Amino acid sequence: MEFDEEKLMTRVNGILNEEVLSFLDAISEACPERDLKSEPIPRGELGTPAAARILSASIPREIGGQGLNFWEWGRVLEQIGRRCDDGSFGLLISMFPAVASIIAESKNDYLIDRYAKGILDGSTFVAFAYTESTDAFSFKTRLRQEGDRLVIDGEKVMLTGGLLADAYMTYVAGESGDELYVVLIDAQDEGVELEPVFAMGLRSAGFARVRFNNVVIPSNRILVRKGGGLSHAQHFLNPRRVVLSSWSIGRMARTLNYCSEYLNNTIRYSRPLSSYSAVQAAFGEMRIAYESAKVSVHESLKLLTAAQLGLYDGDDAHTSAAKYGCVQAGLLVTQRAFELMGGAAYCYPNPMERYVRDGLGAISGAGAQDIVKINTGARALLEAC
Amino acid sequence: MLIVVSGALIKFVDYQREHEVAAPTPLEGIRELTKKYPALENALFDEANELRKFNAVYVDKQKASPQRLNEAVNDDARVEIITAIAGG
Repeated sequence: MEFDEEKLMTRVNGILNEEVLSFLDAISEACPERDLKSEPIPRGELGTPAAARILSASIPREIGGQGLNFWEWGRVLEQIGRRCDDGSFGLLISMFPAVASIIAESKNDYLIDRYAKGILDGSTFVAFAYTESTDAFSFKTRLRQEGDRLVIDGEKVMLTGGLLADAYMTYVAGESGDELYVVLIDAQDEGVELEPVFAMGLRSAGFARVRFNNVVIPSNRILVRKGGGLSHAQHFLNPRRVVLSSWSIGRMARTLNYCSEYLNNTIRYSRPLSSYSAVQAAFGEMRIAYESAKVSVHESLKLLTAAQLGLYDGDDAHTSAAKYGCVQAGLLVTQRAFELMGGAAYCYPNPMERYVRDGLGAISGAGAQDIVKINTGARALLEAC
Repeated sequence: MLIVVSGALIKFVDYQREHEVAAPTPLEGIRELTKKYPALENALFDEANELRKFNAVYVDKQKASPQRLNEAVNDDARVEIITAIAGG
């Protein structure tokens, strides 16, 4: 398969037209105030034609989307990360389409009509409801069957976009506790309780905790039957590591540009800060981290795309490596920027303190850094490079 | 063969890392182990009774292809199961 950069950027720029760019600028402008107040991005803004253009980009053509593959979609997200100041927006516009796409993979027409197609016009968003305060083999959210009714009890402690979602793609254990199902629960189902989660960063992402108290759903809301949930979750999360990282690459570029402008225009002892070799070295370290992460993420996007097209049947360790490296690079870039900009970075409205807070959220996203290291290390000790 | 279980899977085998199993192939050895520890079966095999993709099996320090898992091994073969589960 050929990965033509010129054709790619034509496609990317086709998605990010003037209307979309203006929309991104408006999201950026509102971001600092929303962050201060921990306000989610208004649902209405995600339903505009410009938002729909982005949200539909990676949705399969079979259900009305634009059908971008991972490589193309990742590069769109990277450009959005460059242009848009709001990290929460990047998180939401990668997560909601990912859920809609995996629902589309089910080929279940009822569930696709009810839960996936709505993303095309912003009428329906489904959040990923997986995380509990335990490991995946010990989930406490349980499903029991009472005749043809399914009753769900439990809690999911952290849903990205939970406050904005119309429904939750929920991973629940069977009555014996060991086999996972995946079900769709509506936000309006009786017994669903939602509570905002106030986080250090990404404060407009609508983080929520959701409790299910004897929630009854019909059996046609089962997306994945008994025993298939664990594989489904890993199938969802694996590419997400790289997709999320794509946006982060754009954010790193934004950070570098903001920082270099400051360093070039700030005079100390009659010289711009950028003329000091210590500053150059630190900025060089930032740039090296960014370039390394970018190459790794781009390469991983290509491998994911090749797998998506059935052309690659190799190991997926690259997704973990790309995610891990990207997060570490992002943390280094923001920290160094902070060190170079000093007190100016510490105070609102300089965005650097928000970028640090947002970046720390990536440590746990789509596979926490320590788990990624453990999983990779356990395999690497048995495999030659 | 010696089957080595570690990481997230170890809770399903009474926290014992190493298990001597008599079986002709690695896959049959793993299935024998799940007979002794039924809770391990769901973690390793999907609803189609295939090894879940997030599990990797190594035979004598080599990553085993599906074909290799069904090939005969010596009695002193070492079979290691690594699982890679991550959260959201």
